[in-house]
Amino acid sequence: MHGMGRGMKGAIWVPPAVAVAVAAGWIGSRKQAVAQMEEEIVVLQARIERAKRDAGAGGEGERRPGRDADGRADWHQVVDWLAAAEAGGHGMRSQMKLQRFILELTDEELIAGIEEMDSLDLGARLKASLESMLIGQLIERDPAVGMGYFHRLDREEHGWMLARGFGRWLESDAGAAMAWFDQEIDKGTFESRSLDGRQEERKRFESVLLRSLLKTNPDAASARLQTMPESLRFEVLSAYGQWNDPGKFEGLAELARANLSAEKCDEVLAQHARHLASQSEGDPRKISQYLEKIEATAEEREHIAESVALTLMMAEGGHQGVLRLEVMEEIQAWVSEEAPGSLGRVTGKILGMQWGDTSREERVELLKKFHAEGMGDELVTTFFEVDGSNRDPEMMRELSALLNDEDSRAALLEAADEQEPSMKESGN
Amino acid sequence: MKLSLILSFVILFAGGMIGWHDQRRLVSLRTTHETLVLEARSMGVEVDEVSEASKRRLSEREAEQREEKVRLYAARLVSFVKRAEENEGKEGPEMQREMVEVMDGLLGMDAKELTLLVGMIRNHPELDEDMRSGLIGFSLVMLSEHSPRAALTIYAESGDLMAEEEKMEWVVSAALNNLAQSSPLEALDWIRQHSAAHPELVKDDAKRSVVAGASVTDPALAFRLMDELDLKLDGSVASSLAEACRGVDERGALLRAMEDPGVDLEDAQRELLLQQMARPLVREGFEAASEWLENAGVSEDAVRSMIQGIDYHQIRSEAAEWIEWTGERLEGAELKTKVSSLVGEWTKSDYRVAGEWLTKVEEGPVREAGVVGFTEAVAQHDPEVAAEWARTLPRGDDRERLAGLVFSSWSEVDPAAAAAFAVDEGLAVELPGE
Repeated sequence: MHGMGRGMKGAIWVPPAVAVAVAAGWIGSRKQAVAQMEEEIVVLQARIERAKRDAGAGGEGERRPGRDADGRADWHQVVDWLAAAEAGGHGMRSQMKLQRFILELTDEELIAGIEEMDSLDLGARLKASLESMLIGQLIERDPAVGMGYFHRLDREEHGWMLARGFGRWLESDAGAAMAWFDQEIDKGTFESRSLDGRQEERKRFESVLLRSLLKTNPDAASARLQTMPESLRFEVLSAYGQWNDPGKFEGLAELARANLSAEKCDEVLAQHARHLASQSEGDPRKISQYLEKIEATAEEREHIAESVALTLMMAEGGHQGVLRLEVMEEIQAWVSEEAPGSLGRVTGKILGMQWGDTSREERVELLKKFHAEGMGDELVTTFFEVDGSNRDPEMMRELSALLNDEDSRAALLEAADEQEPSMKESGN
Repeated sequence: MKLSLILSFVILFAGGMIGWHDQRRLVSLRTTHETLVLEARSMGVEVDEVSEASKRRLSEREAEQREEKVRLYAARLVSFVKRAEENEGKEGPEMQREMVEVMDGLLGMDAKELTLLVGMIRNHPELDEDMRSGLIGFSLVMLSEHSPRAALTIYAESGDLMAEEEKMEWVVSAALNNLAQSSPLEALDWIRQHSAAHPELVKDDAKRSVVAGASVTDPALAFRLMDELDLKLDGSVASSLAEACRGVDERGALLRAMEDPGVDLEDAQRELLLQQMARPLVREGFEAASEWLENAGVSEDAVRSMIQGIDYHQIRSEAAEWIEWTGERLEGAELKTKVSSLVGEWTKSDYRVAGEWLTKVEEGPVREAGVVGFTEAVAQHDPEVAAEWARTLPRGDDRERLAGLVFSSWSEVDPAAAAAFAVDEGLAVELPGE
C-alpha cells in the first residue's frame, strides 16, 4: 500500500506537469509564429520600399506615359501609339493612351507641340495626323487660338473639324470669328479650286455662321445670304440640315422662302425633312412637328410628304429591302392627315420601288387594291414614273384601263407601244 | 488529486491567456502580411512562397478586392457615359479630366477585371440597349487585346450578345484578328467550331480578320488560311492584307510570301493585291514611299502594278511629285493611261495648280499624257482653254479625239468659235450651214 501511496503521490504531479508542457508548447509555438511573421513582414516591407525607391530614382515606373524623364512630351512614343492605333490588333489600347495623353496636355504644351512638329523626324503621314489631333484639341479648348493654325491643316480632310471649331469660336467671340472669316474670304482662301465651281469649304463655314446668326440676329442672317449668289445661298441653306438643329428650322424656313426661288425653297425644306426622317426611326410624327414649326403651306406639305415617304420607308420598313406593309399603311395614314392630296403619289412611289422580298406582280396587285379604294390616277402614273426601268407593255396596257384621265391613259399606251420594239430587240 | 487537477487547470488557463494574446497578435500580423503580399504582387515585387491556407485567403481577398474595384469602376463608367451623352457637344475641362480618369481605369484593368466589367455592364439596370451594347463591345475589344480567347468565349457563350450580331460583328472581328496574330491556327479552329452551329457569326468579315491577323506574322500562312476558310482574294481581302501589312517589315514579308512557290496566286489576284498595297504605302508620304519602292528590292513589274493602285485623292498634296515619278517608271499606253487619269482628277479638283504644273513639265510623254488628262477634264467647263491645250499636242489620234470633245461642248456655248476650231483641226463634223 505504501508503494501504491507513493505512486499515487507521484501521480498527483503528472497533470500539472502535462499542463505546463502543453502551455509552454502552445506559448512557444505562438511566439515563434509571431516572430517568423514579423520577420517576413520586415523583409516584405523592405522589398516594397526598395521597389518604390527604384521607381522614384527615374525608372519607367515614375515617368508619365508619353513623357521623358524630365516630363517633356516624348513625341516618338506618342507617334508609336498613333501608328499602333491605326494598325490592326491592340489598336484600341494605343488609341486610348494617345487620347489620354492629348487630353492631359496643357494649352501651352499643345501649342509647343504644334510648333515643334516641323522639326521632328517622325514620318510625314504620322506627323500630319498627330498635328491635326493637336490642333483639333486646341480648337476644342480655345477656338480663337486653335483656328490660328487653320492654314496648317488639309482643309478637305479636316473640313468638318474646322467648321465645328469656327462654330465654337462664334459662340465665344462672334465678332472676332466673323471678322476672321470675312478676311479669309477676301484673301481668296475659300474660293473654289474645282472645275465644277462648288465651294464646299465656304458652304460649310457659312452654314455654321447662319446657325449662329439665326440664334442671335436673324436679320443679319438674311442680309448675309443676300450678298451670295443663289447657287451658294441654296447650298448653304441645304447644308444647314446636317447641323441637326431642329429648334431653328422655323427661322430657316423663313430664310429659304425669302431668299430662294419657290422650287429651290421646296427642295431645301424637303431636304431638311428628309434629314429628320432619316433619324426618326420611321416615326412620321417627327415630320409633323417639323411641318407645324415651319408653318408649311399646303403645297410645301405635299412636296415634303412625297419627298420623305421613301426615306421613312427605308428607315424602318426598308431594312434589308423588305416592303413592310404595316409601315406603308402608317405612312399612308400620316400622309392622309398632313397632305391628303399626295396620298396617291406617295403610294405609287413606294410601290414603284423594287423591294427585295416583293415581286413586281405583288406590287401591282397592291396597286390595284389601292386604286379600288379610290387613290386616283396619280397612283398609277407615279408607279410607272418610278418603276420605269422595268416597263412591261402588257402590264402598262392593262393598268392604263385604271386611268380616268384620257390624256394620261393615251400617254401610258403610247409608252407601252414605244416599249414594244425595244422589248423585241432585247429578246423579251 | 483534486488539487492536482485544479493546479493543472490554473496552469493551462494562464498559459492559454498568454498564448491567446500571441495568437491575436499573429492573426493581426497575418492580415498585415497578406496586405503587403497583395501590394508587392501589384508592384511586381518577388514574394516568398506562402502557405496553402494563406494562398486560399489571399485568393479570396484578391477576388473580393477585384470585384469591389470593378463594381466601383462600372458605376463610375456608367455615370460618366450617361452624363457625356447628356452633355454632348458641351464637354468642358472637368468632363475631359474625368474622361482621362475613366480611360486610366480601363487601361489599368487586367483580363480578369475586364471579364468582370463585361458581366457588370450586361446586368446594369441604368443602361439603355445602345449604351449597353456599345460599352460591352468596347470592353470586349479591350479584353481581346489582353486575351482574345477570353473575349471570344464570353461572346460565344452569351446568347444575348450573339443575338446582337450586327452590333457585335466588329467585336468578333477584332478579337479574331488579335487571336490570329498570336495563334492563327487557333483562330481558324474557332471559325470552324462556330461556323456549323452559328453561321451568322462566321461571315466574310470575320474570316478576313483572321487572314489579316495571321498575315502580320506569317503572310504565307495567311494565304493558306484563305484556302482553308474558302475565302477568295477579292478587293476586300486584298485591302485587309495590305492594311495589316503596312509596316516596312510586314510589307516586305508579304511581297516575299507572294513569290513563295507554295502560294498559288492568279495573275489578276497578284495585281489586285499589289495595287491595294500601294494605298497604305502612299499614305506614308512621297519621300518615304518612293524611297522604299526604289530601294527595297521590289521588282520593276511589282512597282508598275503598285503604281496602278495610286489614285489622286491619296496624293493630293504631292500630286506633282508622284505623277513625275510615275512617268519615269511607266511607258507607252500604261504611262499615258495612268498619268492622264491622275492629271484629269487633279484638274477637276484644283485646275489652277494642275495647269501651272503642266506649263512647267518638259516636252515628252509625261507632258503629253498630262495634256490629255487636263484637256478632257476642262473641255466641258471651258472649251476655249481646252482647245488651246489640245493644240499643243502633236497631230494624231489623241489630238483628234480631244478636238472632237472640245468641239462638242464648245458648239453648245459658242457655235461660231467651235466651227472655226473644227475647221482648224480638220474635224469631220457637221458644221452649221453645211
